Amino acid sequence: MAAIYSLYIINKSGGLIFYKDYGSAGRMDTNDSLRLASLWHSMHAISQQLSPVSGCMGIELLQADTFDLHCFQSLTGTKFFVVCEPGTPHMEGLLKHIYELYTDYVLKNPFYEMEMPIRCELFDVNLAQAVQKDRVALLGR
Amino acid sequence: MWGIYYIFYSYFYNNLGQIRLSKSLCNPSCTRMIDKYTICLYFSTHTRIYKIARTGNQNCKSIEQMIGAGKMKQYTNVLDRPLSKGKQEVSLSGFAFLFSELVQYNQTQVDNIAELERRLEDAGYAVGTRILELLCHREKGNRRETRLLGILSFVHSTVWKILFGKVADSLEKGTEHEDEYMISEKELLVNRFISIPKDMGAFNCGAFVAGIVRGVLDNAGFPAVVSAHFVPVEGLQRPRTTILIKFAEEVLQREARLG
Repeated sequence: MAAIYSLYIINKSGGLIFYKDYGSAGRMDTNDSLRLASLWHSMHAISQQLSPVSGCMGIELLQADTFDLHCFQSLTGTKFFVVCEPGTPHMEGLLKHIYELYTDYVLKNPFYEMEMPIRCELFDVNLAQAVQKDRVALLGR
Repeated sequence: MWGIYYIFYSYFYNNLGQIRLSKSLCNPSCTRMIDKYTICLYFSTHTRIYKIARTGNQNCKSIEQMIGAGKMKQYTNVLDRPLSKGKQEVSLSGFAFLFSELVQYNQTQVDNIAELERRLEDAGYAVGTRILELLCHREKGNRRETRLLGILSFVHSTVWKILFGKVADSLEKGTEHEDEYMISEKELLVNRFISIPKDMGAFNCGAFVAGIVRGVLDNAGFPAVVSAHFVPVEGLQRPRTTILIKFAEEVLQREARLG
């Protein structure tokens, strides 16, 4: 029933600063997740250049047979993306909410060093709640 | 202890060299006549204010009334009017970022956690000193609590309300020691967005709030050692913060004497 497979946050230079696995499908080891993160960072940048429309902000949704990849880029260049079951709704909302949690519990934490991996207890707790809520909403669907 | 701050709420408004008080404080603590000028000295908890006026001057009397009565006055000049209270709230995000910077700055200045705690406490102490002054004037009509329980409930309710918009969750007396009191808060405002890394052990940013409490108590004449601790609560994921207040011996002796 895992609608979301995994969540990534990458900093503005393409380094993975947060990775979380949900459910059993599509689990990756650390090296793979790092590679995916930097690959996505480059693809996102290239897509902006290749886009036929002007003012393109990069890929927002990648649809594949077995998964959807939703991406949200903040104004400062930090990218949040989730890999989820095909056709999972409300992912934009969830990403925005995660961004909000990031600004609250990571950026306002004096012990967090910018651009470094996120290790904040409160962020983890609130993120788990947000994802849980999302699942409950899906179950009720 | 006295005389750290000299505030002159004043401007020279005529060529007699008269300093006019635009805020009411309290009755003059002492008055001295030197030559043809009268110097009045006003004390609040921590501040001295001098007023110099020409003896027998008509204006002098009206100033006395203004200070004593503290009633609403019609101001003809816009500059005389006191500042409006304005919005009572500040942005939580703004505060959180500022506090975060305060902690980060202090972190660069110290080598160990105990010292960081002490520095945060010192920063809070200065806030406490000012808060006591302000609240005694604004909320208590220039009166200051002189009894132990009075000052504790002042901290627990009045101070907390002005700082955090609510009264503290609880105020308790320590069970083991007579001189210990605890103010507990389920989620302290300063800790709302802060996760303490594992390697920092029992460090609590509530040290800043502990400093505020110490500042208030100390300047009110209740010297105490104040510290902030995380206390785990059953059934809750997050530990609550307890501000532990340990009063100095002299405070308890005085309290016992007063009965």
